Amino acid sequence: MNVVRVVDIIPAYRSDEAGLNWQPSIAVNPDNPDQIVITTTDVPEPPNVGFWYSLDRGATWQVNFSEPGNEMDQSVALAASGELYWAVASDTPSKDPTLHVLRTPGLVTSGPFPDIDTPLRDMIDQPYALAITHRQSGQADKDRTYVAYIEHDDWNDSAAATIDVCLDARAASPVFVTVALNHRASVPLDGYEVRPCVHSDGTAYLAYKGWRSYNDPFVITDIVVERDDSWGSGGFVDLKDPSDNKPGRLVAKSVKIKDPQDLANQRLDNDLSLAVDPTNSDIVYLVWGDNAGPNYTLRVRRSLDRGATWCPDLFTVVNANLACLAINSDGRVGFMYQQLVSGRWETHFRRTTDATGKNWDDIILARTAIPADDVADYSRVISVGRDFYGVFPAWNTPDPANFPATPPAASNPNGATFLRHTTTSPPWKLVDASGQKVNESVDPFFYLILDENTVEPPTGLTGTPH
Amino acid sequence: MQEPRPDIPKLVDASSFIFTGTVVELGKSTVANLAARANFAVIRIERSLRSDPALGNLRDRLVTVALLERGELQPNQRAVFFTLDWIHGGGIAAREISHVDARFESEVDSSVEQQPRRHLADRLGSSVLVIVAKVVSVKPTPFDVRWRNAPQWAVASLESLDALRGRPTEGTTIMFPTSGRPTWALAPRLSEGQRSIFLLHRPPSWAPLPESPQFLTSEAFTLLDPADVQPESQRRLIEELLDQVGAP
Repeated sequence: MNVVRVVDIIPAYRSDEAGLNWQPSIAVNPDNPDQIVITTTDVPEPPNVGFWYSLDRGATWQVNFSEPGNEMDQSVALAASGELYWAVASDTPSKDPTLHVLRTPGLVTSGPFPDIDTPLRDMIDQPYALAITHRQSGQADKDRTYVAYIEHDDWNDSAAATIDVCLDARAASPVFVTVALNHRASVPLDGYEVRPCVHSDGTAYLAYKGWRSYNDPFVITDIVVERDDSWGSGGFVDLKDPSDNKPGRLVAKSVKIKDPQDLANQRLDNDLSLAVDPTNSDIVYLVWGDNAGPNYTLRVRRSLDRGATWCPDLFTVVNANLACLAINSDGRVGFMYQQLVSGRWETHFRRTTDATGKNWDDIILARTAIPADDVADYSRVISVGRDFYGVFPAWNTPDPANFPATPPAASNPNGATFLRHTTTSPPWKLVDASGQKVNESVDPFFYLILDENTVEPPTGLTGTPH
Repeated sequence: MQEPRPDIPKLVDASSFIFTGTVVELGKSTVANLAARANFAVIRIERSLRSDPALGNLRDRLVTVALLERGELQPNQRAVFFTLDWIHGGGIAAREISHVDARFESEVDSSVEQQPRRHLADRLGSSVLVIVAKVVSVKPTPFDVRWRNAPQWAVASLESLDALRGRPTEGTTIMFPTSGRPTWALAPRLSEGQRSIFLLHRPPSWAPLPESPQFLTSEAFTLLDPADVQPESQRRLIEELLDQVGAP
């Protein structure tokens, strides 16, 4: 029996919040999953940058707001070493958006944190952080750290998929090597998402979109997967496409995506995610979204031979976005997405139920109202052991009917656990410390799919058996 | 020797969390998971002078402040604290920039109140053109597909009614972001027929103008800051501030 937990992470101390909480990402310490970090993007006034952290597996949350700057895109990674690697694109609208890779050993430590990826890179978009602690007998552990992003060329028409690779990010002076990934002409640029994943045997994969043309409003792109067999130290050239013998397997060619394209106010063309099986680095799953059919569709595919060949669609979802994948220690795939159903956003978490990759269970974590503006280009799910940890953005009406996977009980009258102040019976409202109504907005919701064999921490965090 | 007078406006501008409070105890923490340190002081807030709105009413709340120097404050001592936000949740923690005696509270309060005026003066000082004008037309520019945080500029043509700084050319063109992304969320939006005072700046070095030739004019300006559009009722204040900031 698995246990599902859904937590609105806004703490009671910030119950007056009605901010954007836009574009969430998550990191979990694989050796101590009590330590979890979530980033969101907001418009704090006055400017500063923060990350949310939990030290009790998501039961309670705080925000560390001590980094100066203006928030833009960001994501985080927690290594088993306990080190936090935080990739933030920041600076004001009148300055270049600059990539800061910050490091801290303590989640309650106050900033400013040191920049470890120097010289700083400007004009970048969508940084995506990943870290894995490599343990070797007789040698010191090393944090392999990766920050993937799109690098613009002085805001001309080019933008290149790029990854910074550091093989020892805990070193006093870490050395990041910048790798330009696209070995073919992109017209006019590479897509917005560059997504890496790494296996503990040193196999590193990444996916990106190599655009081949753009004629408003359609992008024609290849879906490209690259591989490096030595932690990314070799430049991601170990997987070649048979059509031109260049690095980067073209999993799908000439994929059509409408851009700009909105679905219930949510901007599309942001769905690309990749996950490697921790039990076998030959197995890798990929999801992207496209407009090959009449509706925007997410497509899950798989390779069983290190990216050399890919099966047809294993699973598809129409009118959905925020796709993200992870694979647990049993080789079971977890897939989160938000789908527009009957005028509401449904947040689904599915897992494969057998080795075919074609059969999936389904847990509906939330069924929430449509926000007035888009809420994210990406979200994220992570596996630790058999468990899945993730975050999704959603409208924060504390009505238990909005959270089908976690029916209300005495300990969670709102279905999902709300840490901020709410009413606990109809009418369902957000309130401040004195009981006055607070406007609804988008909040980040943490979720945990806890396997029945996982030892639970003594946190008191409620959950619903499934 | 007399203590130097604190530069209160400078402290206000550097702080995100300012409050008057009384020292409750030293060397303790009121924040979950934040272990006590020797330089911590627990302060009971009497009056919040500037704080993150998400924190709500802070009166009588306790805040743990990491002091710059130990030994300067004693229990029951009142002061105005200039701090930076640190931790919200499981308590509130802040990092001290400075503190001044509580007798400066009204002066600090006044300085906080004056901060929008100082910001307006800064924006006036960096502007190329300040005009009273009417928005004649607003048009979107071609969709900018280059990156996800693109401002998605719109172009507005202005009919200049009066120039307060600089000399406008006929049909001044200005660009403003239409994207709702956090970077641009606070930028002003314009509508046809709107009459306002506009503080016009040159475009930043990045996110350049759209490719279409009709937009590539050396006379293009941008509106990025909320203070860059002012109601005409602010004209007297703006003229006064322009006198203070001098010529461009």
